[in-house]
Amino acid sequence: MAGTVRRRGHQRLSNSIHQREAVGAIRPLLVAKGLNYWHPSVMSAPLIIKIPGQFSGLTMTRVTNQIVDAAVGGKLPAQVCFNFGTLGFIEPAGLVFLSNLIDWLRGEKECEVAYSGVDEKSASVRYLDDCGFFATSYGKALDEQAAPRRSSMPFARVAQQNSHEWLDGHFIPWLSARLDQSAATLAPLRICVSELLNNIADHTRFNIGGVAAQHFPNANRLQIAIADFGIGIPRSVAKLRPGLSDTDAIIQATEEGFTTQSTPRNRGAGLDYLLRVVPGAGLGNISIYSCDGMVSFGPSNGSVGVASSQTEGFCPGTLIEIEIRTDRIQPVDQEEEELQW
Amino acid sequence: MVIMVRDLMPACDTNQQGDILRAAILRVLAQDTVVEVSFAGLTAATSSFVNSAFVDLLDKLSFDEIKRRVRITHSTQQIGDMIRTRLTREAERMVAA
Repeated sequence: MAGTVRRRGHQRLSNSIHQREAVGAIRPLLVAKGLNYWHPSVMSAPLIIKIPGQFSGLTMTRVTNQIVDAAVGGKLPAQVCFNFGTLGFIEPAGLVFLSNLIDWLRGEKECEVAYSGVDEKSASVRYLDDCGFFATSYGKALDEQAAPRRSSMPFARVAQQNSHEWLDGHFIPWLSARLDQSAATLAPLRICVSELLNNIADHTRFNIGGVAAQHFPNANRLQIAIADFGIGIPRSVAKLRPGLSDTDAIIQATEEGFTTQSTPRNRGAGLDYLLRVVPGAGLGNISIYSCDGMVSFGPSNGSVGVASSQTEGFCPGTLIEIEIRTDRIQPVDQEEEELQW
Repeated sequence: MVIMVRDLMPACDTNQQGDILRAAILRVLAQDTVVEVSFAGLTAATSSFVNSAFVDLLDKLSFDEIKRRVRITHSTQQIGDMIRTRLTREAERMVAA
């Protein structure tokens, strides 16, 4: 891949914004909503996590930073409350990351998780509700009229064994209608998503990825975000190449043929395909966030350029963001062919 | 003999699906000189699928033999490119090793 890898020294900014609100201030909100995530015996105040105003791939680690900073002796707080009071705009990466994080806190860390600061008139909150976030993560939508918007592919948890049904039954029909492109034209993009779902199955023990997408027609942009909470690319790569920085480990993982052999049949072609099909074809950018590394790949002189930077904090697992310039998609001839070697 | 991939599986996404196709190809090749693998009705294939369906044939057949005895028909550009690229690269790796 062409381009220069620029590295910055690791900077771990401590956004130690713990605001310990009294449980009494939160409970009426939850009870009024018909939700009660607090056990009556809970005496300690929950950890309040502020959602960033612009919640994107670049800002999502501010959320984990707050949680990690609150950990004592490696132990996370028993109760975590996400405060949406300052949320202005959320991208698919933020939505997927937050949904996965909530699952991880509940499932892996046995935390109780709730929310506060929710203004149902807020555009961003209504967007989240329409995307199914509150229904999926908290069991109930805020507004019973909440419904998916035409420009959004709502957050979904997709297991590899169900990927075909989701891809061909939901994602591609939605995308095809939004972009007015045939399934054959969108085939490479479909395969990019399928490759990432296969990677989740190969490299994590959960076999389920969180996925969301958003079409911005006025900007000719499509954003797709897929995330898992496996061990992360850097830790996986370290089994074969110890000593690499997290950013360099991510770059290594995208090299065609590089494989940690997490499964015997893994030949290290999936991420390379993603880069060839999106930035390599001039279609857009790929950003990969994992552990303390973040790498963005974009078009560069007919090839793929690498620009890397450290994140502000830690991204558990891996999140991949695909940003497509929809005005650059070229329709493909649907004519069938015989393979000529 | 023609193998209609769509008759065996609804999509070409996973290693497991590739295993099924590879087994079908080998069964036919045990009886016939040439097998036609038709992707009619399918639009795309992942590297995982192609690795299992076709690359793993290199355990039993040479690349030249695969090119001679396995015809890929009714394929899309994406499927054809994926099969050609993956087989070529893995065959080169085997030679270099």
